[in-house]
Amino acid sequence: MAAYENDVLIIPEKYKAMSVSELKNEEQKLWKKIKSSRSRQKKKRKTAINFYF
Amino acid sequence: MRELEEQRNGRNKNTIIDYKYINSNRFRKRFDLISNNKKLNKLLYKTAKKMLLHRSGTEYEDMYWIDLKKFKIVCKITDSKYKKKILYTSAIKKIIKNSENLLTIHTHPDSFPPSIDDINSNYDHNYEIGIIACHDGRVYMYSAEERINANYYKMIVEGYLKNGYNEDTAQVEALKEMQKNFLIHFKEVTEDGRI
Repeated sequence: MAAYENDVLIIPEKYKAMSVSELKNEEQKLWKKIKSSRSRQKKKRKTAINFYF
Repeated sequence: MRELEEQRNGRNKNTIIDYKYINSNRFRKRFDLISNNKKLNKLLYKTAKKMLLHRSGTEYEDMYWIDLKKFKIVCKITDSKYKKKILYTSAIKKIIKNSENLLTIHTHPDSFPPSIDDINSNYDHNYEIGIIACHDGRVYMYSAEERINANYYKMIVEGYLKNGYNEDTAQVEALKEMQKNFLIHFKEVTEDGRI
């Protein structure tokens, strides 16, 4: 568990070097992996407060 | 007091807040649109204002943790020496571990939307909700019931950057996409409630 929150976004050089179509392909490949390895979501403890999303 | 803070940390004109706006009713009204609990909204407004006045002209962030059952600030970091990031002390980690139903509120000097670390930290620590008070007066709220793959998020942001979006809007659009694919909630709290 991370003990920090870093608000600086650092995009890896390899993504920057890719063309739009290469990036799209990589993105789809990774999305397939994410979907197949998705774990069960955590159920949050909630108060009675209604947040307006 | 304000001048002393700015001198101590080096004045950064890009992160100086608009004092007139932060003290206005228009800014206060944003907080009425966060929840159905007036007491909480008022506490968030007061805390946000305090943090922004404290950090104006600097790249450092303040962060507060609020117990949503007691409407009480349980811990805070207001002396961070790290630019644009919050490092949890062991005392903070202990308090978080022993608390439930926490809300976090922190500042963003560069006025960007929630970072990937903000979203994943919300999930990891089981915070009920996170609020960001930006130095330009914008307010964001977010909550995550799932971790986001950081590389996937970065690819999406890079895709928007390549399509001519600036860093701020690329991140906003990427977060909107994340909302479609992951169990996260995010929105800018606008003055009139419009998205």
